[in-house]
Amino acid sequence: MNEKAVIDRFEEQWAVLLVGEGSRQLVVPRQSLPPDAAEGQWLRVQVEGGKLLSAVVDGEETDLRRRRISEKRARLLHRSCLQELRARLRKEGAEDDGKTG
Amino acid sequence: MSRVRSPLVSLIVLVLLLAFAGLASLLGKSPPSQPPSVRKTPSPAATEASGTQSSLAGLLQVHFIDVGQGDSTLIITPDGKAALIDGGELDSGAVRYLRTVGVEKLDLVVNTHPHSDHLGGLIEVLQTIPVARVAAGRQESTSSLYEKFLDAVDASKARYVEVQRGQTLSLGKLELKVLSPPDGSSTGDLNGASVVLRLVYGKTAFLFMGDADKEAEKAILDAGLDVQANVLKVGHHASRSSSSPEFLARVRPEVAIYFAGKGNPFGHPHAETLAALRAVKARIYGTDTAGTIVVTADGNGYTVRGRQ
Repeated sequence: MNEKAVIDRFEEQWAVLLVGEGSRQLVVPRQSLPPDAAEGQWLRVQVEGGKLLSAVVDGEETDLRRRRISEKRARLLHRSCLQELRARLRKEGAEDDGKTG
Repeated sequence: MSRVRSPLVSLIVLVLLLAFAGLASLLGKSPPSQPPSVRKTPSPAATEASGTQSSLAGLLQVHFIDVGQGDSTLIITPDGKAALIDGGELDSGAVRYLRTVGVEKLDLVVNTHPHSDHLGGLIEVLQTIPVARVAAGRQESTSSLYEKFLDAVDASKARYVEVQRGQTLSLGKLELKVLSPPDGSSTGDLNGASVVLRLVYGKTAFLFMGDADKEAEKAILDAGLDVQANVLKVGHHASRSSSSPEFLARVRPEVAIYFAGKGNPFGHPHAETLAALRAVKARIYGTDTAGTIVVTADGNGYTVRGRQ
Protein backbone atom coordinates (compact mmCIF):
# COMPACT_ATOMS: atom_id res chain seq x y z
CA MET A 1 0.00 0.00 0.00
CA ASN A 2 1.16 3.48 -0.84
CA GLU A 3 1.15 5.79 2.18
CA LYS A 4 2.30 9.25 3.11
CA ALA A 5 5.07 9.68 5.66
CA VAL A 6 7.27 12.52 6.88
CA ILE A 7 10.92 12.40 7.89
CA ASP A 8 10.74 13.57 11.49
CA ARG A 9 14.50 13.45 12.03
CA PHE A 10 17.77 11.67 11.49
CA GLU A 11 19.69 10.02 14.31
CA GLU A 12 23.10 9.40 12.74
CA GLN A 13 22.56 6.47 10.33
CA TRP A 14 18.86 6.16 11.22
CA ALA A 15 15.83 8.03 9.96
CA VAL A 16 12.65 8.36 12.01
CA LEU A 17 9.51 8.39 9.86
CA LEU A 18 6.04 9.38 11.01
CA VAL A 19 3.67 7.38 8.84
CA GLY A 20 0.17 8.61 7.96
CA GLU A 21 -0.87 11.43 10.26
CA GLY A 22 1.84 10.72 12.79
CA SER A 23 0.58 8.04 15.13
CA ARG A 24 2.80 5.34 13.61
CA GLN A 25 6.56 5.57 13.76
CA LEU A 26 9.10 3.73 11.70
CA VAL A 27 12.86 3.78 12.27
CA VAL A 28 14.70 2.88 9.06
CA PRO A 29 18.32 2.99 7.89
CA ARG A 30 19.05 6.38 6.38
CA GLN A 31 20.42 4.73 3.25
CA SER A 32 17.04 3.11 2.54
CA LEU A 33 15.72 6.60 1.71
CA PRO A 34 16.41 8.54 -1.50
CA PRO A 35 19.78 10.33 -1.39
CA ASP A 36 18.11 13.78 -1.48
CA ALA A 37 15.85 12.96 1.49
CA ALA A 38 15.93 15.68 4.16
CA GLU A 39 14.40 16.37 7.55
CA GLY A 40 10.81 17.59 7.17
CA GLN A 41 10.36 16.11 3.70
CA TRP A 42 7.21 14.15 2.88
CA LEU A 43 7.49 10.78 1.17
CA ARG A 44 5.28 8.22 -0.49
CA VAL A 45 6.21 4.95 1.16
CA GLN A 46 5.35 1.29 0.91
CA VAL A 47 5.44 -0.42 4.28
CA GLU A 48 4.78 -4.10 4.86
CA GLY A 49 5.08 -5.88 8.18
CA GLY A 50 6.98 -2.94 9.67
CA LYS A 51 9.48 -2.99 6.79
CA LEU A 52 10.03 -0.15 4.34
CA LEU A 53 9.75 -1.52 0.81
CA SER A 54 10.04 1.75 -1.09
CA ALA A 55 10.22 5.50 -0.53
CA VAL A 56 9.88 8.37 -3.00
CA VAL A 57 10.17 12.09 -2.15
CA ASP A 58 6.82 13.88 -2.50
CA GLY A 59 7.66 17.54 -3.11
CA GLU A 60 4.06 18.55 -3.69
CA GLU A 61 2.93 17.19 -0.33
CA THR A 62 5.90 18.86 1.38
CA ASP A 63 4.97 22.24 -0.13
CA LEU A 64 1.31 21.82 0.76
CA ARG A 65 2.10 21.00 4.40
CA ARG A 66 4.64 23.79 4.68
CA ARG A 67 2.17 26.39 3.39
CA ARG A 68 -0.67 25.14 5.61
CA ILE A 69 1.52 24.96 8.72
CA SER A 70 3.12 28.38 8.13
CA GLU A 71 -0.34 29.87 7.88
CA LYS A 72 -1.53 28.19 11.09
CA ARG A 73 1.57 29.31 12.94
CA ALA A 74 1.22 32.90 11.74
CA ARG A 75 -2.43 32.92 12.79
CA LEU A 76 -1.54 31.56 16.22
CA LEU A 77 1.20 34.17 16.73
CA HIS A 78 -1.18 36.92 15.67
CA ARG A 79 -3.94 35.73 17.97
CA SER A 80 -1.51 35.49 20.90
CA CYS A 81 -0.19 38.95 20.17
CA LEU A 82 -3.70 40.40 20.37
CA GLN A 83 -4.36 38.41 23.56
CA GLU A 84 -1.21 39.83 25.11
CA LEU A 85 -2.14 43.35 24.06
CA ARG A 86 -5.67 43.07 25.43
CA ALA A 87 -4.27 41.80 28.73
CA ARG A 88 -1.87 44.78 28.84
CA LEU A 89 -4.62 47.29 28.09
CA ARG A 90 -6.84 45.74 30.75
CA LYS A 91 -4.02 45.86 33.26
CA GLU A 92 -3.15 49.47 32.45
CA GLY A 93 -6.85 50.38 32.59
CA ALA A 94 -7.10 48.80 36.02
CA GLU A 95 -4.01 50.72 37.18
CA ASP A 96 -5.43 54.01 35.90
CA ASP A 97 -8.71 53.33 37.67
CA GLY A 98 -6.73 52.69 40.81
CA LYS A 99 -4.96 56.04 40.56
CA THR A 100 -8.06 58.13 39.88
CA GLY A 101 -10.27 56.19 42.30
CA MET B 1 -24.83 49.93 11.83
CA SER B 2 -21.76 51.63 10.41
CA ARG B 3 -21.79 54.17 13.26
CA VAL B 4 -21.89 51.43 15.81
CA ARG B 5 -19.20 49.47 14.11
CA SER B 6 -16.75 52.21 13.28
CA PRO B 7 -15.24 52.70 16.78
CA LEU B 8 -14.73 48.95 16.89
CA VAL B 9 -13.06 49.03 13.49
CA SER B 10 -10.84 51.91 14.63
CA LEU B 11 -9.93 49.97 17.73
CA ILE B 12 -9.06 46.93 15.67
CA VAL B 13 -6.92 49.06 13.35
CA LEU B 14 -5.19 50.61 16.36
CA VAL B 15 -4.65 47.22 17.89
CA LEU B 16 -3.20 45.90 14.64
CA LEU B 17 -0.93 48.92 14.27
CA LEU B 18 0.33 48.47 17.80
CA ALA B 19 0.70 44.78 17.20
CA PHE B 20 2.92 45.36 14.20
CA ALA B 21 4.83 48.19 15.87
CA GLY B 22 7.19 45.90 17.69
CA LEU B 23 5.15 44.08 20.25
CA ALA B 24 7.63 41.25 20.18
CA SER B 25 9.14 42.82 23.28
CA LEU B 26 5.93 42.12 25.16
CA LEU B 27 6.06 38.46 24.34
CA GLY B 28 7.65 36.06 26.70
CA LYS B 29 6.85 38.19 29.73
CA SER B 30 4.86 37.19 32.73
CA PRO B 31 1.16 36.40 32.68
CA PRO B 32 -1.14 37.93 35.32
CA SER B 33 -0.65 36.35 38.72
CA GLN B 34 -2.68 33.25 39.29
CA PRO B 35 -3.34 30.85 42.13
CA PRO B 36 -1.03 27.84 42.53
CA SER B 37 -1.30 25.18 39.87
CA VAL B 38 -0.35 22.35 42.13
CA ARG B 39 -2.42 20.96 44.95
CA LYS B 40 -0.69 21.92 48.21
CA THR B 41 -1.42 18.60 49.86
CA PRO B 42 -0.14 15.76 47.74
CA SER B 43 -2.72 13.02 47.21
CA PRO B 44 -1.92 9.54 48.53
CA ALA B 45 -1.02 8.56 44.98
CA ALA B 46 1.34 11.49 44.67
CA THR B 47 2.94 10.69 48.00
CA GLU B 48 3.48 7.15 46.90
CA ALA B 49 4.94 8.22 43.56
CA SER B 50 7.21 10.91 44.91
CA GLY B 51 8.13 9.13 48.11
CA THR B 52 8.12 12.34 50.11
CA GLN B 53 5.83 13.71 52.77
CA SER B 54 7.29 17.20 52.84
CA SER B 55 5.22 20.20 51.88
CA LEU B 56 6.12 22.00 48.67
CA ALA B 57 6.56 25.35 50.41
CA GLY B 58 10.06 26.75 49.88
CA LEU B 59 11.06 23.90 47.62
CA LEU B 60 11.71 23.84 43.92
CA GLN B 61 11.11 20.45 42.35
CA VAL B 62 12.39 19.36 38.98
CA HIS B 63 11.05 16.02 37.75
CA PHE B 64 12.85 14.30 34.88
CA ILE B 65 9.96 12.09 33.86
CA ASP B 66 10.65 8.62 32.50
CA VAL B 67 8.84 8.77 29.15
CA GLY B 68 10.95 6.12 27.41
CA GLN B 69 12.96 7.47 24.47
CA GLY B 70 12.06 11.15 24.81
CA ASP B 71 12.34 14.22 27.01
CA SER B 72 9.85 15.55 29.55
CA THR B 73 10.80 17.78 32.47
CA LEU B 74 8.35 19.11 35.04
CA ILE B 75 9.25 22.15 37.15
CA ILE B 76 7.23 23.01 40.25
CA THR B 77 8.24 26.31 41.86
CA PRO B 78 8.15 27.11 45.59
CA ASP B 79 5.04 29.23 44.99
CA GLY B 80 3.23 26.34 43.30
CA LYS B 81 3.63 27.29 39.64
CA ALA B 82 4.18 24.47 37.18
CA ALA B 83 6.02 24.29 33.86
CA LEU B 84 6.59 21.38 31.52
CA ILE B 85 9.54 21.34 29.14
CA ASP B 86 8.72 18.85 26.34
CA GLY B 87 6.34 15.93 26.58
CA GLY B 88 8.05 12.83 25.17
CA GLU B 89 6.46 10.89 22.32
CA LEU B 90 2.76 10.73 21.54
CA ASP B 91 0.93 9.12 24.50
CA SER B 92 4.14 9.09 26.53
CA GLY B 93 2.38 8.99 29.89
CA ALA B 94 3.36 12.58 30.76
CA VAL B 95 -0.28 13.49 31.47
CA ARG B 96 -0.67 10.53 33.82
CA TYR B 97 2.48 11.58 35.66
CA LEU B 98 1.32 15.20 36.01
CA ARG B 99 -1.95 13.99 37.53
CA THR B 100 -0.13 11.64 39.89
CA VAL B 101 1.94 14.45 41.34
CA GLY B 102 -1.07 16.77 41.63
CA VAL B 103 -0.46 19.17 38.75
CA GLU B 104 -3.91 20.46 37.72
CA LYS B 105 -2.80 23.18 35.34
CA LEU B 106 0.38 24.38 33.73
CA ASP B 107 1.52 27.98 33.79
CA LEU B 108 4.02 27.28 31.05
CA VAL B 109 4.70 24.62 28.46
CA VAL B 110 7.94 24.76 26.47
CA ASN B 111 8.68 22.81 23.33
CA THR B 112 12.44 22.90 22.87
CA HIS B 113 12.13 21.79 19.21
CA PRO B 114 9.51 19.99 17.15
CA HIS B 115 10.93 16.44 16.95
CA SER B 116 8.42 13.75 17.88
CA ASP B 117 10.30 12.56 20.99
CA HIS B 118 9.95 16.04 22.55
CA LEU B 119 6.73 17.28 20.97
CA GLY B 120 4.32 14.32 20.66
CA GLY B 121 3.28 14.06 24.31
CA LEU B 122 2.56 17.79 24.53
CA ILE B 123 -0.46 17.33 22.25
CA GLU B 124 -2.28 15.24 24.87
CA VAL B 125 -1.12 17.64 27.61
CA LEU B 126 -2.66 20.59 25.75
CA GLN B 127 -5.87 18.64 25.12
CA THR B 128 -6.39 17.60 28.74
CA ILE B 129 -4.73 20.08 31.11
CA PRO B 130 -5.35 23.87 31.17
CA VAL B 131 -2.22 25.66 29.93
CA ALA B 132 -1.67 29.42 30.26
CA ARG B 133 1.31 29.88 27.99
CA VAL B 134 3.22 27.89 25.38
CA ALA B 135 6.75 28.82 24.35
CA ALA B 136 8.71 27.40 21.44
CA GLY B 137 11.65 28.22 19.23
CA ARG B 138 11.26 29.82 15.81
CA GLN B 139 12.11 26.81 13.69
CA GLU B 140 9.03 25.48 11.97
CA SER B 141 8.50 21.84 11.08
CA THR B 142 6.40 20.30 8.30
CA SER B 143 5.57 17.18 10.30
CA SER B 144 2.10 15.86 11.01
CA LEU B 145 2.72 16.04 14.76
CA TYR B 146 3.86 19.66 14.60
CA GLU B 147 0.62 20.57 12.83
CA LYS B 148 -1.38 18.72 15.50
CA PHE B 149 0.59 20.56 18.16
CA LEU B 150 -0.27 23.96 16.61
CA ASP B 151 -3.93 22.89 16.41
CA ALA B 152 -3.86 21.84 20.07
CA VAL B 153 -2.24 25.12 21.17
CA ASP B 154 -4.88 27.03 19.20
CA ALA B 155 -7.76 25.03 20.70
CA SER B 156 -6.35 25.39 24.22
CA LYS B 157 -6.44 29.22 23.98
CA ALA B 158 -3.00 29.29 25.60
CA ARG B 159 -0.82 32.24 24.70
CA TYR B 160 1.82 31.18 22.20
CA VAL B 161 5.23 32.83 22.14
CA GLU B 162 8.40 32.10 20.23
CA VAL B 163 11.56 32.85 22.14
CA GLN B 164 15.21 33.50 21.47
CA ARG B 165 18.44 34.27 23.30
CA GLY B 166 18.19 37.21 25.68
CA GLN B 167 14.56 36.70 26.62
CA THR B 168 13.25 35.28 29.87
CA LEU B 169 10.19 33.24 30.68
CA SER B 170 8.85 34.02 34.12
CA LEU B 171 7.40 31.28 36.26
CA GLY B 172 6.02 32.62 39.51
CA LYS B 173 8.93 34.37 41.19
CA LEU B 174 11.50 32.46 39.18
CA GLU B 175 12.85 33.05 35.70
CA LEU B 176 13.91 30.78 32.90
CA LYS B 177 16.61 32.49 30.90
CA VAL B 178 16.71 31.67 27.19
CA LEU B 179 20.34 31.00 26.15
CA SER B 180 19.56 29.66 22.69
CA PRO B 181 18.50 29.78 19.83
CA PRO B 182 20.18 33.03 18.79
CA ASP B 183 18.43 36.00 17.26
CA GLY B 184 17.16 35.63 13.71
CA SER B 185 15.86 32.66 11.83
CA SER B 186 18.14 29.67 11.99
CA THR B 187 18.80 27.59 8.94
CA GLY B 188 20.39 24.70 10.78
CA ASP B 189 18.61 21.51 11.76
CA LEU B 190 15.97 21.37 14.45
CA ASN B 191 18.25 19.97 17.19
CA GLY B 192 20.65 22.89 16.78
CA ALA B 193 17.74 25.33 17.08
CA SER B 194 16.64 23.86 20.46
CA VAL B 195 15.44 26.25 23.14
CA VAL B 196 18.09 26.13 25.88
CA LEU B 197 17.02 27.36 29.32
CA ARG B 198 18.83 28.19 32.56
CA LEU B 199 17.01 28.37 35.87
CA VAL B 200 18.54 29.63 39.12
CA TYR B 201 16.96 29.11 42.53
CA GLY B 202 19.12 30.45 45.35
CA LYS B 203 22.44 28.66 45.15
CA THR B 204 21.31 26.01 42.68
CA ALA B 205 21.39 26.42 38.90
CA PHE B 206 19.81 24.14 36.31
CA LEU B 207 20.61 24.00 32.61
CA PHE B 208 18.13 22.43 30.21
CA MET B 209 19.80 21.74 26.87
CA GLY B 210 17.00 20.23 24.77
CA ASP B 211 18.78 18.50 21.88
CA ALA B 212 21.25 21.37 21.30
CA ASP B 213 24.40 20.16 19.54
CA LYS B 214 28.07 21.11 19.89
CA GLU B 215 27.67 23.97 17.42
CA ALA B 216 24.88 25.49 19.51
CA GLU B 217 27.00 24.98 22.65
CA LYS B 218 29.87 26.88 21.05
CA ALA B 219 27.54 29.72 20.01
CA ILE B 220 26.27 29.98 23.61
CA LEU B 221 29.85 30.20 24.93
CA ASP B 222 30.82 32.70 22.21
CA ALA B 223 27.90 34.91 23.31
CA GLY B 224 29.54 35.08 26.76
CA LEU B 225 26.54 33.67 28.62
CA ASP B 226 26.77 32.16 32.09
CA VAL B 227 26.23 28.42 31.69
CA GLN B 228 27.35 27.23 35.14
CA ALA B 229 24.88 24.64 36.44
CA ASN B 230 24.80 22.31 39.40
CA VAL B 231 22.31 20.16 37.52
CA LEU B 232 22.64 19.65 33.77
CA LYS B 233 19.93 18.13 31.60
CA VAL B 234 22.36 16.64 29.12
CA GLY B 235 21.78 17.61 25.47
CA HIS B 236 20.30 15.15 22.97
CA HIS B 237 19.91 12.04 25.14
CA ALA B 238 23.66 12.03 25.87
CA SER B 239 24.39 11.50 22.20
CA ARG B 240 27.88 12.21 20.85
CA SER B 241 26.38 15.13 18.89
CA SER B 242 26.44 17.19 22.09
CA SER B 243 28.32 17.82 25.36
CA SER B 244 31.71 18.97 24.07
CA PRO B 245 34.49 18.93 26.69
CA GLU B 246 34.86 22.74 26.28
CA PHE B 247 31.20 23.27 27.07
CA LEU B 248 31.13 20.85 30.01
CA ALA B 249 34.23 22.55 31.46
CA ARG B 250 32.24 25.79 31.64
CA VAL B 251 29.01 24.23 32.92
CA ARG B 252 30.85 22.31 35.67
CA PRO B 253 27.84 20.06 36.40
CA GLU B 254 27.74 18.16 39.70
CA VAL B 255 24.80 16.16 38.45
CA ALA B 256 24.14 15.22 34.82
CA ILE B 257 20.76 13.80 33.86
CA TYR B 258 19.91 12.36 30.46
CA PHE B 259 16.70 11.00 28.97
CA ALA B 260 16.85 7.71 27.08
CA GLY B 261 14.65 4.69 26.56
CA LYS B 262 16.02 1.31 27.54
CA GLY B 263 17.27 -0.52 24.45
CA ASN B 264 16.58 2.44 22.14
CA PRO B 265 17.64 1.91 18.51
CA PHE B 266 20.03 4.89 18.48
CA GLY B 267 22.46 3.62 21.10
CA HIS B 268 21.75 6.56 23.47
CA PRO B 269 23.53 7.32 25.74
CA HIS B 270 26.82 7.15 23.84
CA ALA B 271 29.83 5.85 25.74
CA GLU B 272 32.11 8.77 24.80
CA THR B 273 29.55 11.28 26.10
CA LEU B 274 29.26 9.46 29.43
CA ALA B 275 33.08 9.48 29.58
CA ALA B 276 33.10 13.26 28.94
CA LEU B 277 30.60 13.75 31.78
CA ARG B 278 32.65 11.55 34.10
CA ALA B 279 35.75 13.56 33.15
CA VAL B 280 34.18 16.67 34.71
CA LYS B 281 33.23 14.56 37.76
CA ALA B 282 29.48 14.77 37.25
CA ARG B 283 27.25 12.22 38.95
CA ILE B 284 25.30 10.69 36.07
CA TYR B 285 21.65 9.68 36.14
CA GLY B 286 19.63 8.36 33.18
CA THR B 287 15.93 7.64 32.88
CA ASP B 288 16.82 4.37 31.10
CA THR B 289 18.30 2.95 34.29
CA ALA B 290 16.83 5.11 37.07
CA GLY B 291 13.30 5.76 35.79
CA THR B 292 11.95 9.16 36.84
CA ILE B 293 14.52 11.34 38.62
CA VAL B 294 13.47 14.15 40.95
CA VAL B 295 15.74 16.99 42.08
CA THR B 296 14.51 19.05 45.01
CA ALA B 297 16.19 22.37 45.81
CA ASP B 298 15.60 24.55 48.87
CA GLY B 299 17.63 27.57 47.81
CA ASN B 300 20.75 26.48 49.70
CA GLY B 301 21.28 23.03 48.27
CA TYR B 302 19.53 20.18 46.54
CA THR B 303 18.90 16.47 46.70
CA VAL B 304 18.52 13.96 43.90
CA ARG B 305 16.18 11.02 44.09
CA GLY B 306 16.92 8.28 41.59
CA ARG B 307 19.42 5.49 41.02
CA GLN B 308 22.81 6.77 39.90
